[in-house]
Amino acid sequence: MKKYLYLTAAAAAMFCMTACSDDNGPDDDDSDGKKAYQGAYVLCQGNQYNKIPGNLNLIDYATTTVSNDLFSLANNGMSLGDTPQCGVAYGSKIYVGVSMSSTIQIMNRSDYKYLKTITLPVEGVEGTQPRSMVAHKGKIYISMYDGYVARLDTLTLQIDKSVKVGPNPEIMALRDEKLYVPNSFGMAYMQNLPYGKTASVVDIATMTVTTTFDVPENPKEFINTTDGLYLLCNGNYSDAKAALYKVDKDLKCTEVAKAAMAAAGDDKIYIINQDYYSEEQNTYFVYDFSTKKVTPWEIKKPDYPSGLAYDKANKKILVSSYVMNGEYPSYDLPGYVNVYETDNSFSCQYFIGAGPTCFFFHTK
Amino acid sequence: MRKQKAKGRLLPAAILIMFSPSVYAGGLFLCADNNAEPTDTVGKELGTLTVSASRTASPTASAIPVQSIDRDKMRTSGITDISDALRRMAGVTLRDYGGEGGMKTLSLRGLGSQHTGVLYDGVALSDVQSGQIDLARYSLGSIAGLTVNHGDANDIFLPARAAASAATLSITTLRAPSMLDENLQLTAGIKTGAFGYIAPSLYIGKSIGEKVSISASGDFTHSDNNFPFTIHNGPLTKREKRKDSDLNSGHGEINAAIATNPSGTLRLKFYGYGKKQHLPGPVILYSPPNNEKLSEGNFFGQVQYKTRLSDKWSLMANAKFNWAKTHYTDINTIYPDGRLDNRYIQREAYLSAAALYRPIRGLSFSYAADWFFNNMNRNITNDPKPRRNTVLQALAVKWQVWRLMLTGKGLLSLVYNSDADGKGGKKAQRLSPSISASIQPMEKVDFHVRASYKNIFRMPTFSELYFDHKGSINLKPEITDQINVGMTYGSPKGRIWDVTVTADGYMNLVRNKIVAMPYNMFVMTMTNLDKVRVLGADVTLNAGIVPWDKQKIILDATWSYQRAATRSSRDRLDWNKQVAYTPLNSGAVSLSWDNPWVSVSIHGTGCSARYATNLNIPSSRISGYFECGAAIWHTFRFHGHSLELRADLINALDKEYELVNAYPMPGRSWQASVTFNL
Repeated sequence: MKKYLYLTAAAAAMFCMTACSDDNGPDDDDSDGKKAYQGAYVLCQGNQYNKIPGNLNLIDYATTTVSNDLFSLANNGMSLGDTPQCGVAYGSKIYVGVSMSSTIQIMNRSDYKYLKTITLPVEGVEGTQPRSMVAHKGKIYISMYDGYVARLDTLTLQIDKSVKVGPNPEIMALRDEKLYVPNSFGMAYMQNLPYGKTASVVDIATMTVTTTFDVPENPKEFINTTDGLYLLCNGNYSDAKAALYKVDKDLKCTEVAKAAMAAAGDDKIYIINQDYYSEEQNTYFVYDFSTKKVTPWEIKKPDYPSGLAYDKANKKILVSSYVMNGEYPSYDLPGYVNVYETDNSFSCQYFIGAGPTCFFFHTK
Repeated sequence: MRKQKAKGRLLPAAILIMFSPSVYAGGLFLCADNNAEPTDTVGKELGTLTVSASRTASPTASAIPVQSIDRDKMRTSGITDISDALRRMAGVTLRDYGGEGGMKTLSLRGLGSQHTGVLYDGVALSDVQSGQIDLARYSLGSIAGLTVNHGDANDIFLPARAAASAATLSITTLRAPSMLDENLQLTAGIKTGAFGYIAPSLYIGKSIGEKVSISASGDFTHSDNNFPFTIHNGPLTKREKRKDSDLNSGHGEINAAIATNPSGTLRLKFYGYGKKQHLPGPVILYSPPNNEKLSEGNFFGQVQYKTRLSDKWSLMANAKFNWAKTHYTDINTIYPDGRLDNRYIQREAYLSAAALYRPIRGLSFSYAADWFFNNMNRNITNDPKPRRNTVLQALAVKWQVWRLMLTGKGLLSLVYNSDADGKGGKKAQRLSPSISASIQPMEKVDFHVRASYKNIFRMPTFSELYFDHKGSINLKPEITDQINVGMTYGSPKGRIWDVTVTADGYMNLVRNKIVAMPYNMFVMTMTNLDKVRVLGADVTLNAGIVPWDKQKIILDATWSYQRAATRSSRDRLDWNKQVAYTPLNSGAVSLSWDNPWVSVSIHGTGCSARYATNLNIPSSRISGYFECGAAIWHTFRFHGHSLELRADLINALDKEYELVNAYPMPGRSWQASVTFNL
C-alpha cells in the first residue's frame, strides 16, 4: 500500500495532476484564476539538503484535482528557490517568500508566469529570510527571520519599509490594523539559550512597534479568530510543552490546550498535538468558542501531520502530511493533503510535493 | 524542510608534488611490505629506506586488499591533491565539498566515513566529535605515501588501535632521514595554480652522528577558491564564482629518530597545524552571501619506541597527546547579537604497548594493549562535556607455512562514556575477531588467492550522543562484518614489462547503523535503525613497460562496483535501494610516459550517478561524471641535485560535477610547480 502511495505521488508530480475521482478531464485553462476561489494553494518546502525542490500546488475542491509544481511548469522548469516558506495570493499576483534563498518570488495568479524576484535585503530596507506574509489594503507584510517586519507595496512591487522586531519572528496575524508578531528566538538552541518570550505589536499605518509584551516560551503563530486573538507556542521541546493560548485584551496569555498546530475555524479552533517526550501518536482536538471546551476531533487521521489550515471561504479543513517510510515519516517523499468538511467527514486526499507546510487562500 | 547544512567545513589541501628519487625513495611506506616483521636494528631499518625501489610494493602477497600510492606514483600519475589520490583507488567513495578548502572525507566499500580509521605515521588520528577525519588538511607536499587497507593489516606487530576500524588509510610522511646518510637533505618546492592558489613547502633532514637523525618540514597554502561554476534554473543558466571561500593553512612538524641500545629506535614527532577559512556554504539559487568562518588549530606530539630484544621478542610502545580546537563563526542577522560563535576543544591522551613473539620460524604471536582518553567541550553554557575512556587489547597470531599465510586476531574493546553532568551513554564491551588467509598455489608463479573476514564496530560520536538531538545517549555501536575473497597476480620480474592485477569480491554488512530520524514534528533524534548490505568488487591493474633505456610507460586502472543496499525492513520504501552518495560504478585510469625529455601523464576519474537520498528519489539524483586531466614535467639533474618543473591541467574538459549536493567541484584549471632537491 505504501509503495502504491509513493508511486501515485511520483506519478502525480510527473503529470502535474492527480484526482480523487476518476472523472477528471484535462484541466481547462482558467486564465482569470477563478479556480482559486474554490481552492487552496499549498507550498511545499522540499528538502534542498537532499536535492528535493520545493514547489507551489493548487488544490481544486470542485474537480477534486491538484495541480502540482505550478511555478516550474509555467516557467520552463524555473525553481522557486531554496525552501519556499510562505505565500499569499493577492490581487492578480501570487507572492512567495523563499527563506533560504532569501527572496520573494512574484508571479501572475492567472498563469503563474514569473514576474519578479526580490532579493533580500533590498537596498536601504532591512530584513532577510521571509517567514510569514499577510496581505492587506494593497500591501503585503512579511515577517523576516532576521528580526524585521517588512512592507511590500503591491503596485510598485517594492519593499519600501521595515521595522525591527524579533529575535526570529514567526507567523504573524493581523487584527484591528495591527500586526501581532511572535518573537520565537528559534535560533536559541544553537547556543543553549532560552527561547523567546515576547511578542511585538506593529501598527501598520506608521510601521512602528507600539507594544512588546510577554508571552509563553517560543511563540510560533498568532491566530486571529472570531473569538479574539490566540497564540500558539512551541515551548522548549522539554518541560515547557507546546500549547495554544488565548490572548486577552490586556495581552495576557491563558492556556487553552496543549497544541503543536492550530487553525481557527468559524466557531472553533482545530488542534493537533504531539507530546515531545513521548512517541505517542499525534492527537486531534477541537476547542469550541461557545462552550470553551476541548473535545476530541474525530477525523480520519493522516499519517504524520505537517500543516493545518482552515479555508474560511469554502469551509474546509486541510491537514497536510508526510508519508511514512516504515515507522518514521519521510521528509524527502512527496506528501499529501487531506481535506475535511466542517462535519469532520473526510472529503479528499491530494498528493503534492515534499514537506507540505504552508497553505494560503485567495485574498481579495 | 531544510536541515541546517552539516557544518560545512571546508578545509585546505595544500599540494606540492615533489619528486625526490634518491632521498626518500619509495620505501617509506607502511605497506611497502606487509609481511615485514620488524627485523630492524636502527641502521638496517632506516638503511632500507634509501635502497628500495621507488615503485609501489607489489600488493600480491597480501591476504587483505591493500592499495598504495607513493610519491613516485603521485608524480607519474598526475595526482594533484589528496582527494585526487584517493579517487584513484578502488573501493573508495570520497565526499568532497569542492575546492582547496572543501572538507574531504573518505568512506571505504560503502561503510561510511566514520568506519575509516586514519593513521598518521602509524598512530591513529581521531575526531570524537564527528567521528571522521577531514583529509583536506594533509598536503601532498609532506606526504610520502598513502595506503588503504580493507581489513586488518598483515603485519601483526601494531598498536591495538590499528585494528579498531573496518578499514584504514595510512598516511606516511617525510620523516627523519637515514642515519647512514650524512648529507643534509633538503627539498623545497612551490606550487601555484588557478584561483589564487599558492603553496610553498620545505623539508630539511640531517643525521647527527650515527645515533640521531632529525628532520623538519612545513607547508603553507593560500587559495582564494573563487572558482567559477554554473547555476541552472530552468531556462536560465548563470555563470557565477564561488564567493567567501578563501583559505590560509599551514602545517609544520619536527621528527627525530634516535638509535638506542641494544637495537631500539625512538621516534619523536611534533606536529602543528593551523587554518583560517571562509566557508562558501551550499550553492543556493541566487546565492545569498555566506559569512561563515572556520579556524582550526591542532597540535600533537607522539613518541614511538621499538626494540628487538632477541630473535624471538620485540617490543613497541607508543604515546601521544593531541589537542585540537575548532572555532566556527557565522555572522548572520538571524542571531540576535548578529553572530554565532562556537569553539570546540578536543583532547586525547593515548598510550600503547605491544609485544611480538616468534617462537619458531614462520610463526608469530603479538599482544597489544592500548588506552586512550578523549574529551571535548564547547564555549556554551549548560553544554555537555563528554569524555570517553577506551581500553583495547589485541591478541594476534600469524602463521606462514608452505605457501600459505594465515592471520587471526581478536580485539577486545571496552569503552566508557560519561559526561561531566553525570549523563552516561552506553558503555561498550565487544570482542571483535578477524581472520585472513593467502595462498600461493604455484611456487614459481606470483599468483595468490586470498580470503578474509573482519568484524568490528564504531562507537557513536560525541555529536551523535550528546549534541543537538533528543534522547540519543543510549545509542549502541554500529557493527560491521566484512568478507573478502580475491586473487592477485604479478608478472615475473626482470622483463621489460610487468603487470600486477588484483581482483576482489566482498560483502560488507552494517547493523545498528546510526541515522537521524524525526523524533516528532520538530526534533530529530539519532537511532540505531538501519541495516546495510554492500556487495562489491574491486579490480586494480598496474602495467609498465620499459621500451627503451630511461623510459617507462605505465598504465594504472581501477574499477569498483558497490551495490550498497539499505536493508532495514521490507516495510520501508528504501528497502534494497542504493545507499545515498554511493555510486554503483566508479573508476580511474592513468597513462604516463616517463622519459628523460618531457614526461607526460593523462588520467581520468569518474563514477556513475548517485542519489542524495536513501529513497533514491528521482530529483535527488546527482549525475555521474568522468573528469580527466594531464600533466607534463621535466627533471633537471646537476651535481647530484635535481630540479623538477611541472604543469598540471585539471578537469581538462571542464566537466561540471558534484561529489556533494550543492557543492560544485572546480572546472578546468591549472597548476604549476617547481621542486628542488639538494
